[in-house]
Amino acid sequence: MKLQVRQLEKVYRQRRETLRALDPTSFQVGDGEFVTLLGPSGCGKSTTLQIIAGLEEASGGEVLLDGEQVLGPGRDRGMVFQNYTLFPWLDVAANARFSFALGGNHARHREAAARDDTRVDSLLEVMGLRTFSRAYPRELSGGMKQRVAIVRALANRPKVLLMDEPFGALDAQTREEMQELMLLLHAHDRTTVLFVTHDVEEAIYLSTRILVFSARPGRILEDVPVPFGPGLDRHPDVKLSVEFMQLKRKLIHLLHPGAHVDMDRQALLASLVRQSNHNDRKGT
Amino acid sequence: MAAEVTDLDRKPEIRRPQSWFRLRRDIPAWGYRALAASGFALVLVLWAWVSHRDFVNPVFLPTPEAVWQALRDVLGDASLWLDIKMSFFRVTAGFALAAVVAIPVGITMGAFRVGEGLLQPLTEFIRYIPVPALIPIFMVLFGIDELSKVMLIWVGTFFQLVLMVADEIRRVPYELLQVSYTLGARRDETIRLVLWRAAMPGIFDALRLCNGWAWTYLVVAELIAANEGLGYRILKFSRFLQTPKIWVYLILLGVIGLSLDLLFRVVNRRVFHWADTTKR
Repeated sequence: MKLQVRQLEKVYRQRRETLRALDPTSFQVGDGEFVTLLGPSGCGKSTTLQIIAGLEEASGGEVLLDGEQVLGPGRDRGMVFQNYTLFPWLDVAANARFSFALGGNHARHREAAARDDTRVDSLLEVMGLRTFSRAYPRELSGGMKQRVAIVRALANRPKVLLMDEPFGALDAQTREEMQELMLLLHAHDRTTVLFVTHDVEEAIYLSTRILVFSARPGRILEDVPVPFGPGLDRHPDVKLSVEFMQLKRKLIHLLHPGAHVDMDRQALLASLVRQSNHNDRKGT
Repeated sequence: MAAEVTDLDRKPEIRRPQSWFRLRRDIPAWGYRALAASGFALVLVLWAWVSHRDFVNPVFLPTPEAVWQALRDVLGDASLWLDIKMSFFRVTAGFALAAVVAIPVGITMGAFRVGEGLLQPLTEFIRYIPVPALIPIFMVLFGIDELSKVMLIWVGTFFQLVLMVADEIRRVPYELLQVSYTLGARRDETIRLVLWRAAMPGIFDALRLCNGWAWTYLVVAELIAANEGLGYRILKFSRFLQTPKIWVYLILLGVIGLSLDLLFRVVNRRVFHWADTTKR
C-alpha cells in the first residue's frame, strides 16, 4: 500500500470545550489510485488531508507513506489548495519550477535536471499554458492559476498528490475542463491522488474509489468503488449514464439521509404568507 | 414578410449617470490632475489675497511676490546647496541605518511568535517616547557632531519601521508558506524565498512613508549644534525674522519630500510590477 492512514483522529481543545473534528479513521490508498474523500463541509475531510500533508498535527493515530511514518510536510506529498497559491512575483515557468531551487535539489545530476525541465515544459504544454510561460499570476484566470499549481506540484514528482477542493473556487464550465485535464494527467502519470471535494459528480467522474465522510465528527461511512473504466475511457457522456445516476443517487442519500423530509415546505410557505399578510395589514 | 420595426429595435439614446461623486469610483485622469493643480492654485490665491490685505502683519505672512524674490536670492546663495547636501546626508544616513536594522528585526518579529513576544511590546513602548525629548541624552551619548543628528533620525524612524515590516510579513498569506513546505522548502528557504519576497512591495512602501518621517525629524535633529542644514537655516531665519526666506525653505522641503515620495512610488511600480495592488 502506498498510503496508510491508521486510527487518525483530531480533537480541538479550547479551555473546557472539546470539539471532535475527526473520529479515529483508517483507510489505505494503493499505488496509482485516485481516491476521493467526499463529505459535507466541516466533516474533517480537509483536516485529514492537512494531517497527511504534515501541515497539521493529529491528536492520535499515524500516517504511513511507503511504510514510513509522516512527521511533517515534505516534497513526497505535493499539495494543491482551493485558494490560489501561486507565488505572485514569479512567472508561470518559474512558479512551475519553484521546487527545483530548493533543498539539495539544485545539486541534482545535470541529466536528471534536464529531464525534469523538459517534463515541466510538456506538462505546461498539456495544460495549455505554453504561451503563458512568461505571464505573471495576476494576469491569469482562476482556472489557469490552478493548472499552474498542479504542474508545480507534479514537477516535484511527489509520491502522492493531495488536492483540497482544488476546483471549488472555479465556475462550472472551467471546473469541467479541469476535470478532463485531471483524467488525462492521471492516465499519463499514474500519480497516486488523494482528492477532497463536496461535489458528488466530480467525485464519481474522477475517482477510482470514494470514501464517504459523515458530518462532524467526521468518520468514514462507506468505501464506494467507482465501476467506470480507468482514466480516458471516461467520456463526459458517462455523467449521463444510468449507472452514474444510480451511484450519484446512492452517494447523495448517504450524505444527506432524510434531507428531503426534514423540511416541511408547505408549513414554511404558510408561515411566509402569514407574515406578509400581517405586514400588509399594519401598512393600511 | 417584411420585418416589422418594433420598439425593441430602436436604438435608445445612451444616458449614463457620470457623476464625479460616486463613492470610491474613478474620475477621468485629466480631471484628477486638474483638481490637484487647483488645490495648489487655491492655496496660492488665498495666500496672495490674505497677505495683500491688512489682516496680518507682513512680517509674519509675506506676500507671494516677496517669497518669490527671496527664492531668487536664496537660489543664488551658495549656502542653500550646502544646506541641502548636509540635510540630505543626515536624513539618508539615519534612514538607511534604520532600514538596514529594521528589516531583519521586523522579519524576525513577523515570522516568529517568539520574536514578536520578545520585541513587539518593547518596541511599542519605545515608539511613544517623544524624540525631541531625547536630545539632551543624545548630546551626552553621541556628542554634538553628525552622529547625534543621524542617531536622532534613526530613533525617529526605526521603531516605526520595525513594526510596519513585521506587519507586512504577517500579511503574507499563510497558504503560501504551506505550499512551499509541501514543495520541500526548509524553514530558512521559506523565509528567504517566500516570506521576504512576498512582503517586499509592502516593505518598500513602508520605507517610502518612513523616509517622509525622517525628513520631519531632520528639523529636530538640527536643533543640536548644527552649522548648516535646511532645518538649522529655518531656525536662523526665524531669529532674524526673515520670514520670506523661511517660506522658501519650507516650500523647498515640501518639494524635496514630494519628489522623493514620487521616486519611491515609481520605483515600486517598476520593480514590483507583479504585485496585484492598485494602491501602490
